[in-house]
Amino acid sequence: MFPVRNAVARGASRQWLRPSSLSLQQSRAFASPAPAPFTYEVSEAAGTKTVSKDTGSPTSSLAVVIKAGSRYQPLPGLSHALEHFAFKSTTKRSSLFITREVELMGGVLETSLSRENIVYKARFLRGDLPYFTELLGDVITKTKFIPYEYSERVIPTMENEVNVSYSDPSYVALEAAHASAYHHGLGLDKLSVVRKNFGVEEISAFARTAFNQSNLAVVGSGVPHAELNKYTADFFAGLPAGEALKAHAPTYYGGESRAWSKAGNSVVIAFPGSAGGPAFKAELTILSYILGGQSTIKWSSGNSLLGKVVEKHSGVTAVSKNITYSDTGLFYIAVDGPAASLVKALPDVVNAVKSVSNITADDLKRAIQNAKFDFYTAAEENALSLESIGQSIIATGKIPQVQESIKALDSVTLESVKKAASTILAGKAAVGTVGDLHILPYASDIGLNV
Amino acid sequence: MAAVKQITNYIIARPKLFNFIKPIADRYCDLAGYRKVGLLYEDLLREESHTVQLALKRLPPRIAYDRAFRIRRALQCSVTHTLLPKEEWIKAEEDVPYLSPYIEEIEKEEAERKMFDALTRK
Repeated sequence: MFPVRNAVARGASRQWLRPSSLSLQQSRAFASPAPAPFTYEVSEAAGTKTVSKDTGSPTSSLAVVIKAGSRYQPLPGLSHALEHFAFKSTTKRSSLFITREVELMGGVLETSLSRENIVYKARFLRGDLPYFTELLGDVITKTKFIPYEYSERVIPTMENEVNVSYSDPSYVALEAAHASAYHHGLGLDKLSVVRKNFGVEEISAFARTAFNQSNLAVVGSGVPHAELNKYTADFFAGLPAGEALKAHAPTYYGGESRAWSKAGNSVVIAFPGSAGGPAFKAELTILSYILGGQSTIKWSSGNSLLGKVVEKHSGVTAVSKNITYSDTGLFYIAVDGPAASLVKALPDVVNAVKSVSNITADDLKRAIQNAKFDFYTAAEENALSLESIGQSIIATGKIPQVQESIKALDSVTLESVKKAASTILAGKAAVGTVGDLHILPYASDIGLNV
Repeated sequence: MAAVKQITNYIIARPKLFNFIKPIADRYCDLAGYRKVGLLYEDLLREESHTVQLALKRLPPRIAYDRAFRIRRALQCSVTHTLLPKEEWIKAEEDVPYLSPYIEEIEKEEAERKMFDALTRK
């Protein structure tokens, strides 16, 4: 695709010292035609799974998706700690060095944690692929896990994140819904709420079991696949073959959990949803768009079923979503607002789900168009869907191509959506209620089975 | 710290000089007497600086506890104008640098920070 600067290939480390790290090659990269921009290429670089698509865009994203989210952690909070240990000192450079170097190159480093994955992500100018592949390889294979970095840098940021998240009633309600839905594994808290029984030894031991070829994938967007493979083979060479981590097989229980909060009121009503990857069920995604709630038009609450409900109750918002995990999924409706309005709005929300049986072909068409738009946007945007791609690759070794997924969304019929809605309503719901419990209703009061 | 380290390395690298200095150094340490009240050399390092304070904070809990114990014991000796019984004196081989690795680490960090702060990009 574009020529590799020989200076960068190995001693990538001090690239920023060279005058203008992106000059001529960069503009040539623009000019070269991007081959099939929405096609993911999957391969193995010396044992490490790589997947990428090249949109030909001037910026690139590179993520290492590690199947080590909170459902795989041996001790509560370990995944959160490991996530926050990203980009700390390695045997090759200090954390300060990493920070300053990346700043100089205009890169962005991010990490995220979900119940399924830890993601270390870098976004950068297209020409800097070798440097950032090296950096991520370095972080994965050579982090030192120094005790004082844990106490001085990692713990404060973890505590801050826990404090911020748990002061948000909608976050707590979603955690509560997970707890009632799954009890173990996926049901446990994602963040390190109680930081118990572990220190750096346990964190680095967890990293050793989690960072291996069967358990992670390198996902790129806006990068040439051949080059990604070449650099991954070089810089992830220290990665052992290893075994994939195993989690508690999820069982859906359903039920209700309630917690007091002075910060606000939030109710999450969850149902069994669709898993991600090849097992993905498009009708649940379409159902979430039919219910909708989040308007796409400014100053309007929208014409979706939930949009019509919240219009009648001031201060109330209701949004439906489907979270996909590797082997299961959670379809939920999050309702926020003042307690007094929520009491009136919640029965209407449940009725809206029931009224899916009356939707017309036009409603379905609108939902499909919305879903397609969002799906294409995510595929277009370099950094958006890296985690779900990596997750699918680690779990199955395959990734549904964008066109296939769009076709699946297109082929959803009125009957399949109505059937999906009646199935979830007939089953047990998992409800998380947070806020003024004196006023907020129980699930059975608003017409749900729990 | 760095300067001391440099001089030490200079001497160690030259066997003749080392063999000449070593007995004098050993004698000096013995005469200084800190081992007789149960202290290690690095208990005496000046700690009124940001660097050493941070290094002390970074010590593993067990080592930090032992250090506090030694200092209290020495203080007790000083108050009562006594030395420890001979079998409790610190032996030369026990007098190891436990703090300076942390200090050097911090000095390295500071130097790196200064390097980046003063960096110009051509």
